[in-house]
Amino acid sequence: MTENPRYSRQALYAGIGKPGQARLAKSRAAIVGLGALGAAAADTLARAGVGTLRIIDRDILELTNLQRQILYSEQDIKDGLPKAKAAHKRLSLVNSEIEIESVVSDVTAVNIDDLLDDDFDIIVDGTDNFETRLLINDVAMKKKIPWVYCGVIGASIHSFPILPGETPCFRCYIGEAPPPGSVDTCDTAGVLGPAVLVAVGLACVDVLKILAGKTEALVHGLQMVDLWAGRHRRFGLKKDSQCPACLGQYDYLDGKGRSAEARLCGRNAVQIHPGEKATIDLKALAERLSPLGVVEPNPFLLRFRPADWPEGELTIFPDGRSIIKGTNDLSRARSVLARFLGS
Amino acid sequence: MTIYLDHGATSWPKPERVIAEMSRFLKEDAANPGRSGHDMARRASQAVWDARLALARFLGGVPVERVIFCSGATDALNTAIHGFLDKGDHVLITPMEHNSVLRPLALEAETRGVTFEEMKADEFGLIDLAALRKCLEDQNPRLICVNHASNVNGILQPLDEICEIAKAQGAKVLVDAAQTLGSLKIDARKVDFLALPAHKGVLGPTGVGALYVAPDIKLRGPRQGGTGAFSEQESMPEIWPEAMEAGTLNAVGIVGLHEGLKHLIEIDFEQAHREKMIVLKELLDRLQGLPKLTLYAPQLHDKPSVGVFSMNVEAYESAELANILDGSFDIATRAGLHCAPRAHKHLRTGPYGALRVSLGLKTTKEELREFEAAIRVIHG
Repeated sequence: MTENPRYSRQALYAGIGKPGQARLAKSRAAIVGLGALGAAAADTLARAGVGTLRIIDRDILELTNLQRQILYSEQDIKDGLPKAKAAHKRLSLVNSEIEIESVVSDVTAVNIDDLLDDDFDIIVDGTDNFETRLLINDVAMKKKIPWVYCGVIGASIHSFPILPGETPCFRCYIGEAPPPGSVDTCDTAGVLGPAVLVAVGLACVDVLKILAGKTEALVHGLQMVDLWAGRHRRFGLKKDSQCPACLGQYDYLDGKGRSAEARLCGRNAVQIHPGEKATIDLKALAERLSPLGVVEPNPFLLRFRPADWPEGELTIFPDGRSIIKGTNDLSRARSVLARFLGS
Repeated sequence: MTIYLDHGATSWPKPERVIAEMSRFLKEDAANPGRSGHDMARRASQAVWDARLALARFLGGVPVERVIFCSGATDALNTAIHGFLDKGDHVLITPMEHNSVLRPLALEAETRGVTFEEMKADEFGLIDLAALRKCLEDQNPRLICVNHASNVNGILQPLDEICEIAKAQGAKVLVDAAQTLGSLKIDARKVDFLALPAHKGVLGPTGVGALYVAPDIKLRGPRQGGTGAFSEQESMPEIWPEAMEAGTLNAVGIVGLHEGLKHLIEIDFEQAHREKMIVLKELLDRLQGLPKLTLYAPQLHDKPSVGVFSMNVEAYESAELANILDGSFDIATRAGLHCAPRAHKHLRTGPYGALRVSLGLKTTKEELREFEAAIRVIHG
């Protein structure tokens, strides 16, 4: 077999080697979500020579994405491109020798089985919410596809690799999705570009180990980095003997936690009901959202007009339901909610 | 316990006897009605016939074979409108029509050149009879669609007078009785078509309804298929109700409809309705002083109406109000346009529609007190 000079430096690294590189070329990887993490991971894996990349995202590019989402340009925003299509275009220029499959879609319990078929060798987490991660975990556990969890808020990074049947899974770690509005998101706490790059570095080295067949080199457990403080910690994780996903019960694939959306008649608005009733502390949420726009709370609801979306308004109720005004696109409404409420 | 004020969408809870009889039927008699000859199939056929007869009597003694079962009022209205109208026909409608009338008419306008126009009405949507008389003379419509009572504000149209005027001019009357059957006694003998669902005032299940069609009306059937009998014929039989009922009927739903009718007769639904209207009026009297409240309630003005009204509270959209009532007070209502955009336009509820409150025969004074208290808290 002739060696492709493109990858010579990577193949030279003892951990990968020529056989590892050859395995990468035959691998299929799915990247779910093409925000900061997903975009950088896609770039890294395309350059590394992963044979097939399926990249999936539902969103259209916005100006606020450019600060950290390295695949995209101002022109892409002018062209009104969905992230998946802009990424596809860019990745084809980076590496024309690999297969790229781009999908503009939400990932839900209804379509995830088709989007992430049995033939994938790995799934990379580029999502921004726990609901989708639990869904990825279920499908990965069911089909025995390794996946790498990765999350960044501010300058904090969390990442760990999941080998179904061998390591603890994401549900062993998190249990259930936190209630909407109870956790920070990049849109409420901000995010640093360099933190994203470190996170992608941590996650992608695990991806390369797994795809190159070097799973023995994986360092198990949760890695937590506070890049601003310069702290790097590792926590051992234990399998939860009661974890439904580990016991073959895939609740999220069966629709658990799946929010229900409905367009409101006669108006440009979507109502979203959370999959499970939540209790939102409207006061705390108001504090978190107030730097980002106009917040009007009262005992029954909180109205929020994001500064970066002048025609939009969110009405959030204490039991987790919400009305997103300014769009009648169900996917867009879910994206907006994920940005500000993390679910 | 949920305070259920969404009876305009569907009634709840259903009477125990409805649940019990549907369950018994499914266990013991649920063969295909009108198809096979074995004993269980015969019992299923009998159950459907009994229900048809009971409904014909409930509607004032109309010919039983002219009562045809449908999947609901929408299906019944579609069957009437698409089966009756011909090229170039003109139709009059009330300003309060539901999309189950408006959308079939829109299709007729597109495909058969049918024209339709709203009748003149007052601010509550009540038809102006003098104007109707004049309009009939001028326009010579073939059909008048009458939303018997509005699903937005409960306004009740004067059916007797409309039928009389229509008859004099040879126009046919199609009545959408979705919000009235089970509250008011309706004599269908005077109308030409009457559409009804089982799941609202009749207290039966969803997925079943009926259309009454007067004997002199010629109607194209809504679909073609098996009828159990007359299988040797290539086309649909002409005999009713088979002509209109291709395919296996929703027998278990029809049994539920029948049981709902029995329940209504047993509890004296007309009296229950009168009592409901008294507690509704009391509620509206108490609410009407609130300065930030807008009521769309003909009941306050002694206009003929049923137990449905709508409202808005300043600074809230109707969808927000419905969510607060549900999430913080466990009160079920419905916000928006209620599939009746023209009615909302006529009532000028605004672009976001209104919050609809619809009472059932068993809605209590105490429940309405709690609703009022919730509205006062939200109103501030």
